[in-house]
Amino acid sequence: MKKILVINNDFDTMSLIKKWLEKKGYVVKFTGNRSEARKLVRDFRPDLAIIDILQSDILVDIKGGSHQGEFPILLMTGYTSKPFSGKLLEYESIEKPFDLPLFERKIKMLLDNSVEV
Amino acid sequence: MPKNDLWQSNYSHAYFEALFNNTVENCMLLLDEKGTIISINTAFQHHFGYHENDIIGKPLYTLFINDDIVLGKPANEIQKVLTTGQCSDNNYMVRKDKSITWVSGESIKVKSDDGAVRILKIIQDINVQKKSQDDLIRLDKLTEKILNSVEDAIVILDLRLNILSVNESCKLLFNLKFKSGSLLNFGEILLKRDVSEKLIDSIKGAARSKVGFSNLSIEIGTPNKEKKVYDVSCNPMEYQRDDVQMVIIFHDITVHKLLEREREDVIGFVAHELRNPLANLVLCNELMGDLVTDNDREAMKDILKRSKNNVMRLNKLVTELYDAAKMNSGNLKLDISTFSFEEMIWEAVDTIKVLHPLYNIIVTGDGKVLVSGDKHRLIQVVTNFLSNGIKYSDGQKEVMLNITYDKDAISVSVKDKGLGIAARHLPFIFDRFFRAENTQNLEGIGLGLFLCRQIINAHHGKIWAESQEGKGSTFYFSIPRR
Repeated sequence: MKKILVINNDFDTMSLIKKWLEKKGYVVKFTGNRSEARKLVRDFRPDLAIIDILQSDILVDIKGGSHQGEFPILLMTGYTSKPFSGKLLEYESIEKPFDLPLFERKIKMLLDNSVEV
Repeated sequence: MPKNDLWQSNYSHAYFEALFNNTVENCMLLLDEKGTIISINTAFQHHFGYHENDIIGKPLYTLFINDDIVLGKPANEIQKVLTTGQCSDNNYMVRKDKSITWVSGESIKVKSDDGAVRILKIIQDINVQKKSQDDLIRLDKLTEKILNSVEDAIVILDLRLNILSVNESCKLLFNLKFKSGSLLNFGEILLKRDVSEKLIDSIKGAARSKVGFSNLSIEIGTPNKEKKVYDVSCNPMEYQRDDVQMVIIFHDITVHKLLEREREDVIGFVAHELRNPLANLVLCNELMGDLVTDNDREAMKDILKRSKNNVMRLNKLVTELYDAAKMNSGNLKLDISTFSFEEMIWEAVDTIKVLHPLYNIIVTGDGKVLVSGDKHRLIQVVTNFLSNGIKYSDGQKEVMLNITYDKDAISVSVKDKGLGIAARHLPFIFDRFFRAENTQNLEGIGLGLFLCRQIINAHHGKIWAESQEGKGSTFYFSIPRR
């Protein structure tokens, strides 16, 4: 079963996404905390991380260092006009409020492209 | 060789006599070698008001102003004519009525038939020309002063983009060392300064077509490495016939651009915050669909509760936004009533306790007095203080509320032991849309404290905060007891 890590500051968003994705058969953990996120990357070893754009500075923690995760990132954003800057442009993104079928397709696509270790 | 009638004629003496007597513009004087006036013509009498009897026998310096006499000008003039044979100068001369006029004069050494040395001085009154020249200079200086008093950078170019004139602001902006009369091409300066080619092309285009442009936004790096945004306009003006000059004005709009960007950021951020509860509602609806199929009543209750919460959150955000807009334009109307202050506090505390059952709100002090004010708005302030204390609690579970009053005012303080506020941020926390960097991960759009300030101000009260980063904050407000 594929493992997904959700990082956001909104408890409702995280727990609702968890419920929704668990129904689809994924294993989901979430956190809004930076050090917790680092720990989960190391111990939970997610196949995909879904991160809110406002928490994107967490990427430095989870994509760098010794526990560098070789997993894809899906950014959530409530911004429509503000262009992502720099490195963030490389990542796949989904706009809030969610188009759930599109959300699911993007998750599937990112998981299918990742190589299972 | 054509013959020169004047010299070969036997009548040359008569010609000179006619010139001396009949000329209207050329005033003539004949001086001896000591500079004594021995003869004047009618033009001189007419222009200077002297009769022959007034001036003949008097020294030349009689006609000079004191300043020039002190400088030795009349003596020097005679000296120069006698040694070199000719001398010309522009200077002031004094009329009989003591008025002065500006003249252009030429003196030449001549010899009379008996061999005596004489000086023939021809004078033209050019006071009118001098005056209009002075006016021009004054006008020029005025123009220069106006140009330099303007903050906009202004440069005036000819059609080949050579600088004709430039004001101080423009010299500063482009680090120019321009002296009037020197040849300096503005196009080359722009190229060197790495300014957008669009500007150079537009100016060249204006020079070609003689049609100007305006509202061109251009970014220019100042000599001290700042990036500034200028609104540039260019107006060709016909200075004289066939002589078109171009006035280019650089108006600094950096501040406006920054504000615009800030506003866009704020709107983007507000939209983001509004979409969070919306996203949650989308998820709730989706999950609810599944739960209906499964007929899982307990889970349905949970999702319904979340759905309600998110609708409330959404509504709170919209209300805050609306209130902020209304209050910022000074349209906050208080609904004044008289009520027990302490009861109002407990209403606020109870509201927060329901929302955050895990937190302990400790109320101390005495507020058993009647006050008049807008009860609903004051509850809004207290709940805002309390929920801030909880939001920035950093894991601490206690928030202290204290009430005190004297004969003039009643005050409330709300103290937490949470994140605290950096000293550099403290002066701005009551500003609209202010959020400190370390709170970026927490919910909110930076309107709460702004609204509190507006509400307390409307009650003619005071609102303030004390804080130490890492140790917690205390928020205060006090309102007068009417």
